[in-house]
Amino acid sequence: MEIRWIERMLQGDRNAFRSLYDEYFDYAMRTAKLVTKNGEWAKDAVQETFLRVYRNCWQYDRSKPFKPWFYSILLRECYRVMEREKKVLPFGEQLEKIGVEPKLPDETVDLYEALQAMEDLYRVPLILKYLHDYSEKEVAEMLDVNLNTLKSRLLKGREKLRKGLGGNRYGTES
Amino acid sequence: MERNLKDRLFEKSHYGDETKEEIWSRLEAQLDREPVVPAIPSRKVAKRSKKTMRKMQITTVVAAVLLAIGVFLAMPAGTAFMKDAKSWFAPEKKVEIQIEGEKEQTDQKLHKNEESRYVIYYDKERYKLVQQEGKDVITTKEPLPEKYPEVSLTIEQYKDLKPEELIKRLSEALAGKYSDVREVEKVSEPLEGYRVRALNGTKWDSEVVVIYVADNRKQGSFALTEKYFMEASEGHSARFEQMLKQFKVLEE
Repeated sequence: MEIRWIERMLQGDRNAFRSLYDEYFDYAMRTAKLVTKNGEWAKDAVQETFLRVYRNCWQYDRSKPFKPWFYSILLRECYRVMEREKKVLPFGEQLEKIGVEPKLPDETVDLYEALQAMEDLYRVPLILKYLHDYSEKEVAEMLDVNLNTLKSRLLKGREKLRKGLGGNRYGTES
Repeated sequence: MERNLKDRLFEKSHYGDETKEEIWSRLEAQLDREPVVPAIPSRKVAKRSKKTMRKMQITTVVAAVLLAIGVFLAMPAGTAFMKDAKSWFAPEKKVEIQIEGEKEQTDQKLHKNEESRYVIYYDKERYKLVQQEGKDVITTKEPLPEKYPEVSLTIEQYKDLKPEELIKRLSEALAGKYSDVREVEKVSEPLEGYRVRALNGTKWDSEVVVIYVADNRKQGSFALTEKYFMEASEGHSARFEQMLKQFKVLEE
């Protein structure tokens, strides 16, 4: 489907661009909001992402899946917006808070806050995997990393989350 | 935990119902204000390693020396040397040009038209030169998709028309084809002569034509016609202008 839209976009077809927008907007907006942690920045990142997709659709390699290409642009735009706003992720402060109280029960430290307090290296793969139920292979492609690297990051990310929640490192996965 | 995480992410990533249309409006406004189409590939110069660069520099110097020796040996002895050297042009050369604020190194190829007595260098990686009905036409190597207007630089000689007369005629001919025909200007850059510009609107794909007329030094003229479209003003146009700087009329 995406290939057909892109072919039409190359002919300057705005309706095809709208169809692509309809299909990907929700995924993009939700991801951007979680990655940037800011609604307005997320809007900027999403707008710039679609603009870049439209302008550069000739660069898309049709022999490869569209989603990783799209998400790599989206993530780049998220980072760009975050850098522009000079927003250094305050994970250090939150990690410290979580670190000094390692036995906090689940009820006092929110799962979401614990995730967002993590480094991007672990946080972003977890967002992509759990928000959209993407397979590990798909997430690895989006982040342009080796599958084993991604698996390792997800594993460490989950461990860090459990620690942050004060749970057992070897706790069961639900 | 994973189930909870998914639910929390979904909940926390919620956005207002109006957001989608708000961003679409912003996108549309941007596309309308700065008309964009999926961009035409613009080849960038690949960065080379220091080692490769050094090898290339050595190879270039050796090639240049060998070429110079060859040329020297092939030339007639004595006073004819300087005259012949003046009319000798390197078959290829590297030229630095500026496109959209970025410097770019291009490989230029010599085209010598013996009959019309002129030379020009053109970017051999992006363009080809074809001869049609007595004209030389430099156009994109890869044909552009149908929706793009013509992109070309055409060189044609008018043996019996002086520059002043030719530019007047060509300018008048534009009036019937283009909605906005500008005044004729006398120019010294990119070449000595006259220039007239014409446009067919201000959309991204509006046709643009720029005609230069230069003296052929034999009571006649050359018309050098650039054709492109609004969106390509910074790309093809800049490349054509650079090529025109290399245009030289040959002595008889």
